[in-house]
Amino acid sequence: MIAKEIERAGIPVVLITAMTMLGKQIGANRIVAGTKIPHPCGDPTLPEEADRAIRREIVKTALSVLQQKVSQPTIFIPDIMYALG
Amino acid sequence: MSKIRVMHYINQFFAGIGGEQKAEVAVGSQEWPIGPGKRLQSLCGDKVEIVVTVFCGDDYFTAHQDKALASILQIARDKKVEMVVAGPAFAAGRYGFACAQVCHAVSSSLGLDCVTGMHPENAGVATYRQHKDRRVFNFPTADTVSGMEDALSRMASFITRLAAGSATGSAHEEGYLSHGLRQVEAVAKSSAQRTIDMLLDKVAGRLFITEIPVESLGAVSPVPPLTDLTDACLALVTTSGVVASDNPDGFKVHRNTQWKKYSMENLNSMTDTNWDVRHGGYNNIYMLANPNYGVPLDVCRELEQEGVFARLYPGFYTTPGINGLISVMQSMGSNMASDMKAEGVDAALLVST
Repeated sequence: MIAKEIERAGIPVVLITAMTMLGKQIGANRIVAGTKIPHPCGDPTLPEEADRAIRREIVKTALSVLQQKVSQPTIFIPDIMYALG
Repeated sequence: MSKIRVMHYINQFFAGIGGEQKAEVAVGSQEWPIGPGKRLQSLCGDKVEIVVTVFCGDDYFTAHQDKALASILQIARDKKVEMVVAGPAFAAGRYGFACAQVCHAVSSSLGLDCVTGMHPENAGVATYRQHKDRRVFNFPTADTVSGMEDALSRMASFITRLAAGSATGSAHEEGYLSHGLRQVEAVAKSSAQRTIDMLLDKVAGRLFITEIPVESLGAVSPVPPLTDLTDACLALVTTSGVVASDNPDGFKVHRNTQWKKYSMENLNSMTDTNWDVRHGGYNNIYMLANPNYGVPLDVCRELEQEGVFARLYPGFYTTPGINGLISVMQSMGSNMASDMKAEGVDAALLVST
């Protein structure tokens, strides 16, 4: 709901969440899939370096999504495998 | 048995006073049924009696709502009415709004049952749903007055049962428009059985009725994309409940009504200083150990230094997004957005747990 209000004010926003379907249902327009609900940006079960690489990939995906045109609520999946090399 | 005393509310048009040219007419009343009230009275039979008809111009009601409602409530008290019927208003927006407001005022101030009717897309339906008065019942009608007989029959049938004190069922059983309230009731089948039944009905293409309708929250048109990130100021927002150490602002773990902006100006990672996490909706241990999971400061600094975007806004916006009322979350979002605009933020990333 917060994302929608920010967007309503004319500021492009990306919602990063593990609950992508919920984000879509609520009507956030740019949604990037996060890792898990308690840790959307990263994965604490992985070594620190990999955890951070995932976070970086998620944020990079979100930044690229800010530059993409969407016409309706759209979910983008970061390429985590790429991040982990 | 004595008859139930009913007040009937109608607009100036149905009262026979006039059309738009008479929409400024103030509240008036007569001690007998007028216009649709005559047919309503005959359909209701001898269990109820329309003891007073109150009418008001649609424009007058909108412009002088408090005054109009005060007069209407006074008439209801004077005439010792026991139930109020308003409309039907069909698709007439001002009339539908007036019916919804009259019913709300009567129900909340005098505790009386109210029955109204209007087209499901009448703006008055939103008012009705907003008030959520358990004892106001709004029946769907056609969009034009050609549906009068059908609307009055439905309303009359419900009014007579209400007057007789027969238990009223759910919106689905009785046919009125849902209040958006959930009723507690005892049922024979467990939720698992009911869910499977619904699923089987759905798969087979049979009609089924959900117990929890998904609320439609309306769409917001997507903002055009940023053409160039390299001169953009980026803000981070989180609903993960990352707050200042020891929670000095008193964030609650449920149903928060506040948000704050905390500085991360001199930090390269959220782990450079101590934070707390206040959120009753997920296991906080990972977030507490590394708040970069909710406020990805470490990688944002990196990307800022690499010039991917111009600058990271020095504060992050935060609230625990848990069990929040939709209206509260909307108002927080719009306040955050105003702040961002004032601060020159070009885009935002919102991390939600």
